[in-house]
Amino acid sequence: MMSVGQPAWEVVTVADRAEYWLESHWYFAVAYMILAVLAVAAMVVALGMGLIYGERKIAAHFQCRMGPMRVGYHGILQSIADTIKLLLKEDIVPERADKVLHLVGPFLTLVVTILILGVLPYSPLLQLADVSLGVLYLTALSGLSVLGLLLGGWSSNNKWSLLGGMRAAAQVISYEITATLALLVVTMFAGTLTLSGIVQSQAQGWWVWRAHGVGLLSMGLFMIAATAEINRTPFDIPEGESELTGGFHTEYSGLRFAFFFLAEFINMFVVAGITVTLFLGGWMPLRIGNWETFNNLMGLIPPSLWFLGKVVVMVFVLMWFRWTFPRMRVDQLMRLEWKFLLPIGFINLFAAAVIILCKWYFFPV
Amino acid sequence: MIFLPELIVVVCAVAILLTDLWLDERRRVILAPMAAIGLVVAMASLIISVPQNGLTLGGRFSVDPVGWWFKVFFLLSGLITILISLDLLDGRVGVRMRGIGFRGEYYTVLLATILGMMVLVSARDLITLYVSLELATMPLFVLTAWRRDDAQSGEAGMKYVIFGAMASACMLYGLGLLYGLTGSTALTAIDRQLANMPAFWLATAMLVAGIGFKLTIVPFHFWAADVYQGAPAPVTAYLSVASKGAGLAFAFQILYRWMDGWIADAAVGVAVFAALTMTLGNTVAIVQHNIKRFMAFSAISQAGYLVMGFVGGLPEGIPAMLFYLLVYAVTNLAVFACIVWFSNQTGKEQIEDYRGLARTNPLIALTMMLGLFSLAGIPPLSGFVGKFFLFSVASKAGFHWLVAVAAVNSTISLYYYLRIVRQMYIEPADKDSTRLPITPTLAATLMVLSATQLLMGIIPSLYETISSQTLAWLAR
Amino acid sequence: MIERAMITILFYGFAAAAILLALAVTTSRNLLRAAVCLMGVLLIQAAFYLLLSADFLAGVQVLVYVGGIVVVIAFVVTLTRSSQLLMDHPSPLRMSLAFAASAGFAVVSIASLWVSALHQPGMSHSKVDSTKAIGMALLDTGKTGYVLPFEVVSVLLLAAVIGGIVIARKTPPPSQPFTTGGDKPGEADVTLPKSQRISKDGRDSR
Repeated sequence: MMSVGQPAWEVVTVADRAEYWLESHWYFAVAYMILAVLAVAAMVVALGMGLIYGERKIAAHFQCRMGPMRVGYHGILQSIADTIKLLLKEDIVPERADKVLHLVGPFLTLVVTILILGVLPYSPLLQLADVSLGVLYLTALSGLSVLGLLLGGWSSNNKWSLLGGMRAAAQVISYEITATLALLVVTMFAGTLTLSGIVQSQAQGWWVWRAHGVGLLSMGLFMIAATAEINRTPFDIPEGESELTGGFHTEYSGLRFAFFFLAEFINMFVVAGITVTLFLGGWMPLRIGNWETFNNLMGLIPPSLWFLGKVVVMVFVLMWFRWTFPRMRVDQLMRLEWKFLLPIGFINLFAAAVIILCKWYFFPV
Repeated sequence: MIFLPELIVVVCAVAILLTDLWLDERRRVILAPMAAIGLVVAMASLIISVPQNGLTLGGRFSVDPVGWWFKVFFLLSGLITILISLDLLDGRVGVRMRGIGFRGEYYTVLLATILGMMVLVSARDLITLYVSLELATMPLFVLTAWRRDDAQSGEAGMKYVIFGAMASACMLYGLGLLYGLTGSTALTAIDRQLANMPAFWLATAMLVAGIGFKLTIVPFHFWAADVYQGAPAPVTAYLSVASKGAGLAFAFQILYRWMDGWIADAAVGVAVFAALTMTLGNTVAIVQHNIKRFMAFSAISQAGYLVMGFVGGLPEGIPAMLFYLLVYAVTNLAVFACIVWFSNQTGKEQIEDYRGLARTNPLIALTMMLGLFSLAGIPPLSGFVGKFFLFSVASKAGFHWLVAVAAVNSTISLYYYLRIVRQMYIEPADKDSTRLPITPTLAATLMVLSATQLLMGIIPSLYETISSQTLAWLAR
Repeated sequence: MIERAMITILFYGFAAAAILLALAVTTSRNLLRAAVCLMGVLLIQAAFYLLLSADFLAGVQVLVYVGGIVVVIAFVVTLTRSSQLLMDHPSPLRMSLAFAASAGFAVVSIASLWVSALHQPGMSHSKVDSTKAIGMALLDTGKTGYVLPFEVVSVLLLAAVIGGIVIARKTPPPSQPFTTGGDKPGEADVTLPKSQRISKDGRDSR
């Protein structure tokens, strides 16, 4: 079905390049690695600041306010000011806290987030490493991230924190199942676990609509479950401020708090990125059947812009969720997962298997 | 389709689970008949359609006469267990036991363990062997703790989990070592490649610990008394019979499928284990007061007799063991049926509580006495015949001292079994004690069990069938 | 050559770290710290699988053991009354006996493995898609397939889940009369005489 003249995407990751240079000029490889680490660090900071500013502005406009306006044009430098404030704040550790675990908690959370950033395919030429496990890697790490919250909540030696951490753990291990079931659907359609492979399998069209409704349903399931996994409203009971003051981060301040905070916002980007990669074609341009003119026109936009654009839309949707839906109760949350999402997820998986066996999806390659 | 019986058991388990979902509490009484019918159908399919030799799934699943008879044993004991537990679960009891319930789940889990045992004897590679042993063990932890309001039941479950996990870890280490030594998971390949080296003996020791746990062989028997006492009575019955059979099946798989060449070397070890087990079980049973605890030690000593079949690695040991296993199932479950009935009606479990039972319920006392005498090995009851074959195997292998120990032990066991008989027949009944009612199902089960138990001792054809079939296969 | 050396160095480094962390798991008096050390041990195990180029197994190891089991352990520890429950002090005799037993076991097992010739599988560096191969093998009914253990495990997990739910489920409060099911507390009301029943909105039905 591949039409003539369609650009064939060749994926070259940073790790590939480093490996290539390792044989002749090993210092090139080292330079690549250092560059990659620096790039990720810069990305973490930039993403954090950008997302926080975006969230505040969007929240404000949803509520008919202006949001931050003082620092810079329309408050554009507000995040920088906040960062400096956070860095200069006193780092308070409660007297009877478990000192080591109090430090491990936020650290673990942020590290897991960064590890996921490293495998997302931003464009055919911009991906740090294309791990062969791909989707499995993502699900494995998302389970790990909750341990940070749990440890932080427990080690603070505070009832609010403990309750928050436990709520986070219960919530994440429940919703992880639905998220994994939804991701499995795409894996089955694409026939591969690698993220770049999944993106390339969508050259003929994105899985969200190519898969006859199953894709759409699993994208919906994944969005709900992922929102719960990153503890955002309407699933933000682990830190629900009206019940638990601050939840698991009640006893955190200064840089450690910043770690939790950063991880939370970058997780939003990560969820949007995973959704885009698996369901919305990643960096693939939009194509409509055999309408060559349109397809060529879309092909002119560089892949990294496609990725960025889609991610921005998804992030906006996540923020939209937050300022639209009210927070759920704990029991409602559990009932939603175990009695509704989980059965739907399993039925969806079966349906997907049937569709694949019968080759009912659009544009089978 | 040589795995048809297993398939039927699994389908039955799932059917019960799903039916349970749509029934209201009153209609759930049909679940027990469903489970029983499922097992009967599985048994019928085993007897009618399964040949005694067969291999499928690329050699990972096979049936041979020994495995076939083991499966008969597992299905039989599962069936009887269901028949003696349904009164308790349906609430047809004199004294209500709180916290027993979840009938659908109970039968599902019970059928799952039966499936695990059946696959266990058919497995031909390490992975299936281990996994099916876990399936035969793990649901039992839950069944033990089934009385959720009862602290003793919970404690029993906890102890069983901890000991079971430890035994399982030992077993896994042993199996891992065997794989490391031979590079293969298939039993036949392992048999060919094993060489005599220290790691092999380490693996054997680990496996012995694991099997010893299942079979309650003496240094590994510590869990038995507490678990048997705490578990609901029908579960105790199942534990003492089927679970023990699973341990024996595993031992058979190891000793006869891999260690053909080594088994003669291990004879002394097996004999020592057997002697220790029966001696300790018998002596400790004398001082017990709780009937379930008492039966636990009785079961330990019976395991000692059973293991005698392995001494010397003679082919005659296998039919003797299988026959004794079947006899033990019928006899022990007959005794347990009485115990279950008594605790259902009175809620009492002490041996002293049985006093005067022969005045109020003479028939039940009679069946219980017959069962106890059979366990002790009094001729002409079936227990005597079973023991006779086992003892003759040991003496044929040259272990005359073991036979002497076993004979002494049988005498001791007669003493403590008579303690219960004395309570029932000689001690006067309480003044206000009246005739206790019995449900038709339990009465029928008891009658059939007693009759079978008597017939097995008198009619020789069962042993002859087992022996001719298995010996022909072993001589191959 | 460099690659082999790297793998060897990594292996020994990881092994040392794993042993130290495992020691920390057993000696730590704080349950949650022990859980965190356990997480370290399990992660290093995943690293071993990666060194042996068993990628899929490594992923599953992290997914199941770290993301599942350690989280559940930590969850349970936070639910317990105090994480200092390990603070009992066993008698010195007991401790020394336990130490002797474990040390003896370690010595015996290391020594016997040392002198035994273990089977050495041929190293394969082929870049086969191990995930696909595993998936195929799990549902293969032939000589190389593992469909039987796979199905047995699925029954085992089902039974374990059912059992776990039965044990964990709420029992009706003791004031209520016996119900055989025990899972529907409300049903017990049916046995009450009508005058004692309480209507749904909480008012007395009289």
